[in-house]
Amino acid sequence: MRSFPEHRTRRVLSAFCATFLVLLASACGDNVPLNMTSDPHVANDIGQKALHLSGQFAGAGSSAQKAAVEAWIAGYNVYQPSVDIAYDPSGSGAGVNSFLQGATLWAGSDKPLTQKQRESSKAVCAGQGAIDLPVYISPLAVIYNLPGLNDVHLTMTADVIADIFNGTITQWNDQRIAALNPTQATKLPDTVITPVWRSDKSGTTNSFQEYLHQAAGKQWTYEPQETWPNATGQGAKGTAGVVSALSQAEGTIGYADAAQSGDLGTVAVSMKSATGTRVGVAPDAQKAANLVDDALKNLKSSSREGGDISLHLNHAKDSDSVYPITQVSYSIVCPTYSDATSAHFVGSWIEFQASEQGQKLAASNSGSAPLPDELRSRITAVARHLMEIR
Amino acid sequence: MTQMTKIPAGESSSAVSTSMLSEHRRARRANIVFGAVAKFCGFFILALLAAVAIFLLLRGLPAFFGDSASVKSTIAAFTGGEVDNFWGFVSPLIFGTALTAFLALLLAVPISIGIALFITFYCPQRFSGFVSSIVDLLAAIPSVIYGLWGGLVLVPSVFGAADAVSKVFGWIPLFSGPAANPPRTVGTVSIVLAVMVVPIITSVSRDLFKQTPVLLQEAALGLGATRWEMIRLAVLPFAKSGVVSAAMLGLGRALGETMAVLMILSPGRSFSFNLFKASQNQTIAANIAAQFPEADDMGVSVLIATGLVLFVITFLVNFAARRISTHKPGQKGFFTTLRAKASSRRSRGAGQAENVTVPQTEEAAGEHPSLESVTTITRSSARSRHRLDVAMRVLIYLSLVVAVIPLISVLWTVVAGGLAQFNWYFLTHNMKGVIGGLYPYGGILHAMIGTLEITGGAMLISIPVGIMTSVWLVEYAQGTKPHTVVSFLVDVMSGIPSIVAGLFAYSVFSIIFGPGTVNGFVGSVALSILMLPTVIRTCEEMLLIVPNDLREASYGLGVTKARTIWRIVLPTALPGIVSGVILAIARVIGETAPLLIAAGVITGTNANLFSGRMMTLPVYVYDEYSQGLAQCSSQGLALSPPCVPQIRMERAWSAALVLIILVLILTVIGRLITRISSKRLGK
Repeated sequence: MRSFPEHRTRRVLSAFCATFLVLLASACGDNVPLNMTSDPHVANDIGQKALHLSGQFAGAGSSAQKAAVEAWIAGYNVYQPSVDIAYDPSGSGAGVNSFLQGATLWAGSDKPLTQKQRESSKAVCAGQGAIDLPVYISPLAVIYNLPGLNDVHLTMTADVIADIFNGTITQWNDQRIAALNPTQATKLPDTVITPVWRSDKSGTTNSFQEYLHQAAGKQWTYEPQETWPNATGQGAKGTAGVVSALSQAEGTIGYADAAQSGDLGTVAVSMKSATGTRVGVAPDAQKAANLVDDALKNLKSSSREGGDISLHLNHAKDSDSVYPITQVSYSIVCPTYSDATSAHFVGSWIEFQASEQGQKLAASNSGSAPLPDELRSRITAVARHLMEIR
Repeated sequence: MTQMTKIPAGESSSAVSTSMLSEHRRARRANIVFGAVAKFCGFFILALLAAVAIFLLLRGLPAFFGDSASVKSTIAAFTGGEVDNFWGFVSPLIFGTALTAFLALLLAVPISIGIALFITFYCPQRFSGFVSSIVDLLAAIPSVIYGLWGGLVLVPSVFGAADAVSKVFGWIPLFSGPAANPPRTVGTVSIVLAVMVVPIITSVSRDLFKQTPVLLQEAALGLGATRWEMIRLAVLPFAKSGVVSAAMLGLGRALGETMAVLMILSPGRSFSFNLFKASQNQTIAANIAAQFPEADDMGVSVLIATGLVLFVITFLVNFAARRISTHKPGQKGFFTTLRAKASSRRSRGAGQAENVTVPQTEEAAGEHPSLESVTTITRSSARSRHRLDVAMRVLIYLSLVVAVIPLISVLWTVVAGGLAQFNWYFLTHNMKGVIGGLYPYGGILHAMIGTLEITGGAMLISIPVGIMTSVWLVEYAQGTKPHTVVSFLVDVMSGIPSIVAGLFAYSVFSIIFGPGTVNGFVGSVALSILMLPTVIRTCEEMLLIVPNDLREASYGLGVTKARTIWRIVLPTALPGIVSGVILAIARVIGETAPLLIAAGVITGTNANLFSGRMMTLPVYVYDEYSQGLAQCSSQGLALSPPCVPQIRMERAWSAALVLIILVLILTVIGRLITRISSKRLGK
């Protein structure tokens, strides 16, 4: 009598365990990406072919880099198939924290380390301060939703953009917008402008505000930071939240990675051409890279030792050869590691990130801009140094 | 009762007296141990709740008493430099939390009462079970799915209505325009919260209405009252205090809701009452979820301190709910024992997640307005009385329709959106090696394994503790002071917002195992806190139904108490306990906010519960949603199979579909077992 329910329980239990084991056995379930071994001549600059690494390595940080890192991991595994890389896009702040605690080998971050963080990094970097390597350049677009005008680039100056986001310009048919877009002036609707900003802390917000602060300091008096400073319009969580809020209503305007703009319109920023006339510059990867190249030329080589490259972009540069609203994201690594395997991994990993092939992969999957050659060779030098540690 | 034959009566025929003696000693020892374990579990609940408060306090302490310069700079960074002290930071959040929850309640209470009345008095008996379970379905849908639906379906569709109302009633400050477009406003959020709260209030009110003394109803009808007059005179006064406390329970739920607010509301930090303007208010829970990922150590402390504030608020609300439902003139204390109410509770289904103490029949009947008032109605008003009756009937039918619309809309959106990627590959692969929108499109294997293991871990913690606690409450501590206290604490526990449970688990592990400890087991601990009160309550109810004759028969044969409970009482109550546990699982399996904090996000499969981040289904849905469009080059689009820019939304909907199917299966199994067991036990 008593045995009956027990048998039943046991049967249920064993069925449960069996299902579980099957699941565990197939636990990998990893996907096999297609054609990552693109044309061989692009891969010429990969110096790690002689290196054979294996093991599991972890990094964490910037969510802006996520799409690029996904592609980099797949591309890197072509050269180092036995390496298992996990990247946790938990955010720059959290990523730098776990790097400083020694939980991860590198961090992705939208801003370089502060002096204090650099000091504390010596504990995990065998006595040397960690370094910032800009590996990801992304043009940010000022995006808008105005049916009929989404496929043309409305032109705006930094002043106008700042005045829209601080609530001074409230209508799309405002004279100042119309004056900048004479051919579209009649099409500008009598609609209220709803600015949409990031409600979470974000490096994108910081970069956008840095642009506004530098290029339109009179209109944008807020000190640039990762939190949006006013409550004009609407806040949305994450880039996806901003894009989805924009696509839900006409008359909205916001900022996001250019690659995320989708069917929305993107603003062309009014810049001075070589001949002195004003032209609109739409978000453009090459022109974003030019702005970084420009910052690289002004980089004081003595600013920080150990191969550190923390950039100060000049968002106020008024030339149509650059696109001024550009965000840079860094890989933060140690210049040396206490064990050789970690050093070799990080060296080969950032070498791949900065390589022409790595940058191409990132461009096609995240819309990022290619690193300038000068920057690439600097990062490669750091990488080679790491790979030679014995 | 077949169980009777289980009693090992054969022992008395044993020949060797020494072995009998040792057997007897062993039984006694087992008896003592069993009782001690049960008692320990009862006090464990006390310790657990104290631990929640203490660990939140410990981890949040720096925000109150830490280095003031760094607290100031952290809070300034959170608010864009607007304020730099803790109370300045948290008070608009408290206001926003209270406002959204209160508005949700305002919408939900009339609708819930309407539905409950429909089920009890208007619906043919045959369908009332069906209608009840439809409403319960609303409670089973995970909040992350409400968030998706609210953000992507509801928001674009309510602008017209919001705009119209603000144009007509704009002179009322509450409705003043211009209405924000897209309407990601407090008004829209409270609609979604109301949908989530309706099933809670409905199920409690329904049970209350069912208990209205039939004599009163018949007396009213016999005096010529219309059906509505009968309800107004006989039913509503009877159920009033119970409905109020049910509303408070709903309020507790709405106060702690995270994901739906996070995914819909455009946040702000003002104290304004504008329903249709964006960027006015933010809730504590949504603020925690929004700021947590990018917060540094001090930032986490500040957020945990706000979580503590939320915990205190929900504690007070639940306290008030209990006080309202138990405080009657002529009674001494607020914490009347459950025993007295147990009998009136029997008719309630075993699966109530939320609990409210039901007023006793005799007491409530005493407070009744006299039915004489019916007779004073004059004949001349018959027509207007009839008209009112019809009007109320229409309103009551309408309230059901109003509640069913969102359910159909949610289910339809999830199914329509989810079928795109719902295939074998999706179920058997993880996200490792998936690049943007390119093929292979990846899947949810890692999230399913994570959900299975984390929920399994939560079950391992909460089921034994929960069952033993309820055994202690029913079999050992009945009528004692500790019983009153623990029983009250279980009620408090059922009101803990899920994000606070997540923060608690995170704090415990970061204090004991070092900062930033995030793994599957932390998630299990968070979920077990949410499961425990449900498990305890359902077990308690089931144990109370077990006829006392069984126990007495067992004792009469000289069986020890422990053996009686183990062999007689628990097996008899088992089906009910199982169904309660299943419903508790269905409730926590869709939890997102605590797992976002405690278990994290990962692309690969991690089968180790105790190390490394672990993906779960609800977190997967949220994570995919929050990544937006995938970048596809023109070559990518030309590939076969092509690069899909909207792939992440498709994956989010498909995972949501899997999650809903999972929750539905669990709910249906739970209900079936309840039905079968109640048929068996009821007679």
